[in-house]
Amino acid sequence: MNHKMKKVATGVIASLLALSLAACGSNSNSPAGTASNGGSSSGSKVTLELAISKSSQDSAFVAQDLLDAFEKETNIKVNLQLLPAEQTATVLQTKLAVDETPDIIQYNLASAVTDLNLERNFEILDSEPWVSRLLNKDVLSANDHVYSFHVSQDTGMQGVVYNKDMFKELNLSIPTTFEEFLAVCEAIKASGVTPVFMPFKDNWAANIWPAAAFADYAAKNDPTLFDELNSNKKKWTDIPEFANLLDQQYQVFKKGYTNPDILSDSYDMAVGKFLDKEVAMMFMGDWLIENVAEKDPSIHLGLFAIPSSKDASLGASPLGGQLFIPKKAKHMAEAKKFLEFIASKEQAQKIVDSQGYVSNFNDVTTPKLPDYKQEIVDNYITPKKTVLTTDAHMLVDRSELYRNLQDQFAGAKTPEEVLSAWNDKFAQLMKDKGVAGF
Amino acid sequence: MSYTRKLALRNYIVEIFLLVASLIIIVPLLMMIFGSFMTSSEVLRFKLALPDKWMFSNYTQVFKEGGLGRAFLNGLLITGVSSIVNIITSSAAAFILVRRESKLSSFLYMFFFMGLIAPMSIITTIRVVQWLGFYGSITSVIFIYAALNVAFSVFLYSGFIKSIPRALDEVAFLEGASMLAVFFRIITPLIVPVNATVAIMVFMSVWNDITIPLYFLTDSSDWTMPLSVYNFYGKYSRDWNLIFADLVMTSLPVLVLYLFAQKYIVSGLTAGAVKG
Amino acid sequence: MKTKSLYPYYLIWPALFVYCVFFVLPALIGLFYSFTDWRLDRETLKFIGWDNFKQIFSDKTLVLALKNTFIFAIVTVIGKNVLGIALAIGLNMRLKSKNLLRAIFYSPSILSVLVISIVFTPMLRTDGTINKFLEAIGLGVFGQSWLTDPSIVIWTVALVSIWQHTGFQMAIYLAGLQSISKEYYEAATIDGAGAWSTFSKITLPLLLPAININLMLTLIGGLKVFSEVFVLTGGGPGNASQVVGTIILRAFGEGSWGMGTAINTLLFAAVTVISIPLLIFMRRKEVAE
Repeated sequence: MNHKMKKVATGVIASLLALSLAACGSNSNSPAGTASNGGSSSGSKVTLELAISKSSQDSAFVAQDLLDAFEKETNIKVNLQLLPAEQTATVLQTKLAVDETPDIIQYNLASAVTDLNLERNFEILDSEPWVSRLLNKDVLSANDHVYSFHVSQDTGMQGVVYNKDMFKELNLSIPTTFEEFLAVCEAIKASGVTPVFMPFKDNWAANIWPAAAFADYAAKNDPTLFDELNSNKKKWTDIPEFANLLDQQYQVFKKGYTNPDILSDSYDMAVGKFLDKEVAMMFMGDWLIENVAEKDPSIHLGLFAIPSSKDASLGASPLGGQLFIPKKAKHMAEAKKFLEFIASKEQAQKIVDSQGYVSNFNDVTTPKLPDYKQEIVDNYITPKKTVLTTDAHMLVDRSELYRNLQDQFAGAKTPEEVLSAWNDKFAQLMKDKGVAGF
Repeated sequence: MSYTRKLALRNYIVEIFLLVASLIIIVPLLMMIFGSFMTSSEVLRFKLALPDKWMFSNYTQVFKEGGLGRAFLNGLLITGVSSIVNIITSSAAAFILVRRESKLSSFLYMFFFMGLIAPMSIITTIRVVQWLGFYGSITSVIFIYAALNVAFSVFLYSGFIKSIPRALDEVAFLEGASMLAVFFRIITPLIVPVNATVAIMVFMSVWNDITIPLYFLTDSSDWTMPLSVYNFYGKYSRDWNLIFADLVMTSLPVLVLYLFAQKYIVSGLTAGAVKG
Repeated sequence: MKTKSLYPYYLIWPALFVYCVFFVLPALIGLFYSFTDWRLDRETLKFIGWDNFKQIFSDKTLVLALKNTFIFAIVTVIGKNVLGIALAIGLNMRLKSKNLLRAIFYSPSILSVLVISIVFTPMLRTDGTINKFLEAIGLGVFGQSWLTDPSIVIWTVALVSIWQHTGFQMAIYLAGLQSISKEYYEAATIDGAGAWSTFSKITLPLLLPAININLMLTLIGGLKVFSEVFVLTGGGPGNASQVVGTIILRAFGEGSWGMGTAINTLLFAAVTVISIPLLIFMRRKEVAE
C-alpha cells in the first residue's frame, strides 16, 4: 500500500510538472527558443530585441514604418521591449549584470556612463562605416570612443520656458538679472496668471535652476571648479555663491510667484498648464516646448537663460536618446546592420526632416528649424552663450541631490544644509566608485 | 421573543453602520470607475461626478492599444498554473507538517515560515534559472511565483488545518482509507473555505505583480495585464481616463474570481460548523 | 496509532523542492553578496567582511527610515487587525447585505498598488477631495498637507495601507470565525452572557489561530513595507518618508549593490528577531487554549 501511495504521489508531481511544461510549450515562440537557434544563423529569420523606456516610445528610431522598412530590406525583425520609466535603469542594470542583454538599447549617453557602466557593457563603434560621415563625434562619444548612435547633434537646452504671447501682451522683455526676473513675475502675477510652474513632486525638476546656475557661475568665475569638485580639491560647501543660487529659486516660491502646492504637482501636468494658459513660465528644457507645440501649435513658447546672474548663459544638456549595442548582444552583426540602415542617407534624411533635428551627417541636410529653435541658435548658440549644465560633469548618481532640493522646499533644509548633505553623499559615492582623491 | 427583537434591532444598527462605513471604500473606487468613462480633459478635475458623456470608446481603445487580449491570456496562464501548483503542493505539505509532531516537522515549519521574512534576490534567481536553462520562458515565471507563495500558503494552511480534529482522520484510517483518500475525502472538504481564501489571495498577488515579468520575461509580448498600464503613462502627459479604464479592466478578473470564490467561502459556513 | 506511516513526509517534497530551488537557494547566494563590495561599475567582487554593515549606520537617513518603518508597522498592525476583527464580526452576523458588504470591504485589497497611488495621490493633495470634504462638514481644521508635510507623510501612507488591506485581514478573520461552532454561542446565550463577555471568553480565544496568522502577516508585511511608500511618495518629500525597503532601492539605484544587499540582510535579521519569538509565543498560547 505504501508503494502504491508513492506511485500516486509521484504521479501527482509528474503531472504538475507536465502542466507547467505544457504552459511553456503552448508558447512556442518564446524568446528562449529564438535565442537558442538564433546563433546558428542558418538562414532562419533573426529577431532583434530593442529595449527602450516607455517614456521614449515615440522615438523616431522605433517608429513602426522604419522597423517595417528595415525588415523588408534585410529580413531582420525588431521586437521592442518597452520598460516602465521608473524601472528602466534597474531592469537594464540587472540584465547587463547577468549577461541577458537585449541586442540594442536606447538610453542617454551621459546617464549610461553613471548608470550602466558604459565601458564594461557596451560595444565601441569607432570602426562602423557611418562614423566617418559624422559632423560632431563628441555627442556620441565617451573616453574618445564612439559608443552610441544618433542622427542628430542637437543637444537639449535648459532655461526658463516662457509664453511669448503673454510677455507681448504685458509688454515684458526678457529679464537679464534676478531682480528683473522678480519684477517680471510680479507683473505676471498682477495680471492674474501664475508666473512660474514648479512641479516639484518630481524632485529632478527642482534641479533645473541650480544645474544651469552653478555651471554659469563656474564658467564665469572658476572654470576648473567641476574638475576640482570631482577630485576632492574643493567641496560643495566651499562655494558660498552656491547657497545664494539655491536661495534664489526658493525666493521665487516664497514670494508667491508659483503654483501653491508645488510638492503635489508633477511634471506630467506641465503641458496642460501651458495649454490652458494657467502659467507663464517654467524652469525646464526645450523639449517641453515641442510637447506643447504638438498639442497646440497656436501657443508660442520660447526659452531664455536662467536669470541667476547678469546675462547668464543658457544651460546645455548632453544629447540624449542614443542607441547602444551591448557587448553581449546575441545578434551583434544584425544590430550593427540596424544602425547602418538608419544611418543611410535616405533614412537619416527622413528622420531629420520629420523631427526637425540638426543633422549630424555631412550628407544629410538640416531642415528649417522651428522658430523657438532658430531663436536659441541666434541668441545663444551663435554668440557662444551656452554652458554645459552641472549634471554633465557628474560621475555619480545625483538623485540624493534632487531629494535634498525637495527637502528645501518642504521647509526641512536651508540652502547650506542642502549643500552639506549633498557634499557628504557625493564624497561617499565617489569613494565607493573608487575615484582618486576621495 | 423580546430577545429576538433585540437581536434584530442590533443587526439593523450594525448593518446601517457598516453600509455608511462602506462609503469610505466605495467613493475612491467610484472616482476611478467614473473617470474611466470621461474624456481626457474632464477627468483632470479629479472630482467625484458622473461623466458628462459616457465614453465607452475608452475601453475599446485601451483594449486595442494596450494589447489587453494577449496580456489577459498570458496572465491567466501564468497566474492560473502557478496558483494551482502552489495550492496543491502547499496544502499537502501543511497537512503533513501539522499532523506530524516531530522535531523535523517543527523545523520544516520554521523553514517555510522564514520564507515570509527573507527577501527575494532577483539577480541570483536569474542565475539559477539560467543554470537550469529556461531563462526568459513562461515556465520559469510560473515556478518562481509558485515558490514565492509557498511560505504564505503553508503558513495559512497550517493555521487552519490545525483546527480540524485529528480524530476525524483517525476514524477514517480505522475504516481502512488510504492517506490520499483521507486527505482528499476528509480534509479537503473541511478546508474548502480556506482553499477559497488562499486561492484568491495567491491568485491576486500573482495577478497584480509587475516585477517578475520585467526581469524574467525577455519578450514583452509575454507580459501580463498590470504592465499594460504603462502604455498610457508617458513621461510628458498622462491620459488618466485611459489609465483608469486599463486599471478597471486589469482588476476585473480578480473581482470576478472573488465573487465566485465567495460562494464557497460562505458555503463553508455550514461545512466548517461540524464539531469544533 | 503510528503517525509515522499514516502521514508520510513525501507529501512535503513537491512544495519543499519548488521552494528550495526557486527561492531559498537564490536567497542564500544573495546573502553572500552583502559581504562583498559588489558594485555596478566594478569588474570583480571582493570579500570585505562586515564593512558594509559598519557603513550602514553612518547614514543618517537610515535612522530616519528605521523610525518610519516602525511607525508604519505599529500603526498598520493595530489598524488592520482591530478593524479587521470588527468588520469580520459585523459581517458574520445575519445581515441582509452581508455578501455585498463583504465584497465591498474586500475589494480594495485585490487592486494593484498602482491603482492606490493613482486614485489617492490627487485625493490627498492640499486642495484635494479629502481636505475639501473635511471643510464641507465643518472639520476644515483637520485638513493636512497629507503627502507633502514631512512630519505626517508616513502616517498618511500607513492610513492608505490600512484602507487597502483591512479587507484582506477581515477575510482571514471571517474564515476563522466560521470554524467556531454555533453551539458555543448558544450555550453562552443560555447562560445569559453579555456581548463583551461572549467576545472575550469565546470569540477571542477561539479566533487565536486567525489572530496569530494576521498578526504575523501584518507585522512582517509592515516591517518589509516598500510598494505603498514607493508609489505614493517615492520616499519623499526629500527623504521624509523613506523606509528600510525604499532605502534598499536607493542603494541599488546609486550602484552600491553590495550595500543594498547588506541592508536587505539586516532587515531580514531584524524581522526574524522580532517575529520568531512572537510566533513561538502565539503558538504556545494556541495550544494552551
